[in-house]
Amino acid sequence: MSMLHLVRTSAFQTNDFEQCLNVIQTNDTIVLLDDGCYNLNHDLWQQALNKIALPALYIVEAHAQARAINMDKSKISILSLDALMALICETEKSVTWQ
Amino acid sequence: MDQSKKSVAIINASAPFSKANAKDSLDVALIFGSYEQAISLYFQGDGVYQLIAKQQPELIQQKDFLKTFAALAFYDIENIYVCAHSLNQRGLSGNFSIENVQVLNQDDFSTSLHQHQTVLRF
Repeated sequence: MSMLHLVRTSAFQTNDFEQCLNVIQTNDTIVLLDDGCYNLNHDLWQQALNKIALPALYIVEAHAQARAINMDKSKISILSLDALMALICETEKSVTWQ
Repeated sequence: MDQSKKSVAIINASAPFSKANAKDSLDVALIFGSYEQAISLYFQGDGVYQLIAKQQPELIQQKDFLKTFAALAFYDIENIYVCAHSLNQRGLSGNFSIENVQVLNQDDFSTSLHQHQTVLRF
């Protein structure tokens, strides 16, 4: 059964995201939100891309825009806040990394 | 040491929005500036994100306190230093929201910081 991973902290500051990467499986979904958005430009992001297909790797658009983070569509899919709510509601299992 | 020769440094090490550190630090800097106390600002680690141009805090319902950086010059706060290593780690170019920012390598950053008697870190 797949799991939703909500990543809220910067990997440059804490090792939350690294721990997340240690437990993810191929069918899981990752969402970068809040300071987690900074992880898109961290070397560790390649590990997420290696394990999980692009359509299941998301960044919350407003949170990235607020931080002036360039959302490269070859590295991540873009999620609106409404879509985030829907994703959380339809997911049975989730972990928040913070 | 002679009181008049003491100087204060602030190390900003937090990203701008998830915690109040960045805003608190800026408030402290402006208070020191108001009293004409010599103060220098250092940006290291995730703190470098505070200075990046074109951020839009209103999208996440935050007040745009980053605009206040533009007022530092009026408070005679002109010593603003950024750690080059921290920028490189994060893939950031020197595209800052304010001018008069000096990017220093690790040795120069350290040397500059050591010139201060009091260091506060946020």
